Amino acid sequence: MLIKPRALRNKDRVAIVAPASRPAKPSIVARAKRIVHEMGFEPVLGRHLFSTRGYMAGSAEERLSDFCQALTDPSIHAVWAITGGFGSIHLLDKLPYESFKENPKIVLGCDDVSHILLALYKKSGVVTLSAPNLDRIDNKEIFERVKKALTSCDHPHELVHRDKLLDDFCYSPVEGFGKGKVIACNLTALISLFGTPYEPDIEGAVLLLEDRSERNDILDRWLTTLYISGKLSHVAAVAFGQLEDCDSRGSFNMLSFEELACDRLASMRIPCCFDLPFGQSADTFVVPIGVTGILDTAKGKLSFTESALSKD
Amino acid sequence: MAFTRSEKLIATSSALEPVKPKALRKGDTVAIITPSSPAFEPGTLKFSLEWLQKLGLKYKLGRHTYESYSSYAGSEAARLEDFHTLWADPDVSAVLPLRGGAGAPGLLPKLDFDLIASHPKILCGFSDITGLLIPIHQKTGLVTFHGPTLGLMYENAYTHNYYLKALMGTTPIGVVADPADENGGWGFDYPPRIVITQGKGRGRLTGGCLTLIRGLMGTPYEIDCRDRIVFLEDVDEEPHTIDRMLSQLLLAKKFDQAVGIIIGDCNGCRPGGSKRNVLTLNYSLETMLRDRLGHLDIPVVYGLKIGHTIDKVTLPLGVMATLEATASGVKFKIEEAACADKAPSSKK
Repeated sequence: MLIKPRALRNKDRVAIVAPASRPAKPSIVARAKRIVHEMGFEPVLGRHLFSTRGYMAGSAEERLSDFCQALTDPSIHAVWAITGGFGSIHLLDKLPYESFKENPKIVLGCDDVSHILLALYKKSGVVTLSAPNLDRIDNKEIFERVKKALTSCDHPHELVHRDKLLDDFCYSPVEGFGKGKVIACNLTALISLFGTPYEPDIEGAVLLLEDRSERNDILDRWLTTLYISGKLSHVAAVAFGQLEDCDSRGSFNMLSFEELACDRLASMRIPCCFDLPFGQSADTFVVPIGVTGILDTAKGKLSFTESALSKD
Repeated sequence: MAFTRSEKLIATSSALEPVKPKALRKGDTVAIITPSSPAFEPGTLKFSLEWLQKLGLKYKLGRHTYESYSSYAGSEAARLEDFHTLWADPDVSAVLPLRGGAGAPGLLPKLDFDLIASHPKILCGFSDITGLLIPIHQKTGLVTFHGPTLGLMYENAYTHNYYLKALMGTTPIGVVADPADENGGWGFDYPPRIVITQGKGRGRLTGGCLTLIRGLMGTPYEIDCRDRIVFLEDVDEEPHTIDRMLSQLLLAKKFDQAVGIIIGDCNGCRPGGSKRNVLTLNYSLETMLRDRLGHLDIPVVYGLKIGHTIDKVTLPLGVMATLEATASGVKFKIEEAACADKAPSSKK
């Protein structure tokens, strides 16, 4: 049974946490506080936001302490990651899954925070939201989109590929429909959970994948893991979102990711398409993990058949 | 010093007898294949052939050796065809991938493990070839060799000697030494053998390139670490990436099942050292290893010459070994021969 957290109301308290890397500079935190405030909520800062341990915002214990505090404090209604980076995976075996299931709340973020979103969904059955981390909310459109996604109990906003020139163009090597629970995540994070108790069940799922700063053949390596696991052939459909800064790194004979991905997906006749507005940047839409969606790959359109949040 | 649970596990792990291939001898024929990426350039192959000649070995070449498709040496169908044809060839005593790169794991769903089990022979490589070494070892019981690919077996004397000892010998490799200091004491060879946790473990060997091992997680070819000494290495990956992969193995309880861990000299795995990301983060591999693995109650060591360094030991998967990590240093000994005098009776 899917558990839907309560939609936010005016004056609700929103925790700002750094479960992975550290915010790059203090102005990002000051700005994040203001963004949350402008949305009509009360920002609450994690104690260790500025801690440093290598590439992380403090030791695993410090990051865990902030995250659990936010997750279990009944006066806090949502937990929003300030940035991604590296290190979320350290928290997974110590998160309070049982109490979170009893007292669910909205958790949102993306990039490395994908690990946490997938683990909370898997172990607690609670819908989590893939949305930009606070450090990438940088324009009015994304501000309004996230605010609406956090406060509305309507079906989530659909995702449609928009070509700047051609009205209804979407690159879809296998045209078709897929209906199922939506698993939207970072590809590297998904593969990092494989073989662990936090690996999501992707059977019958509509898979929505993004990544950032990876070489095409590295992305193909992780798609190969999906293929050899035998699990890829059981998904309903696959859509790729933003692949920021992912390319062949100057290698002229390396094929594009579209071609490499199609080698897998086309031979299995899995409906698939590219360039949906999903990822880490401000161009993304908010995608709830676990709710049912229908992907029409020919149109490059993902729509949802149920709400992600509850009224109470 | 805490003696680990490995002591009591000896009885269970030795029950699993590996299948040992026939040792390679002068006059034998080897097969050269490219299951991953193609040769860097034709010259690489020419050098390799000359070295095979020096060793008195004949060779057969895969039909698709010179093909290229994206970063792979031809399509999966082409690479599978070469592998199957040469593996089944009764004249071939060893299958020696020319190089790693990328692409071997993609062959697994269509790889004929029955055919492999019916013609036990030597398979030696590293890096991307890990994607074949572990699955073949686990599915058939065959001892496979984590050592230089053909194009790298003559890189230097240390590497070459261990290669010959493992593939052409029928006695145990014994204590694994570090390369002799040839600079008269000047300079330093980093990392030295570093003890992350002390202890003693005894078990069969398994392991390989961490990126490949991580890519097999959650698949039917996932690494089995039960009662094993597990060796891991990688190249040009930053500490945070190694961290994420080790954390994945930790969450999957892989290290709770192992009796010892050896992290190789991970060449180029420095903060900011990745070719994909340029980040100057001051958190070394050693610091990360202490953070992530320091709590384990089995011996964990770092810095042995495995994998992507010029100096590389050839390690057979499936043979018994001991690992001792104490305040005075690291002793790693391979106790059992990897090859047999005669070919094993094949499973039909």
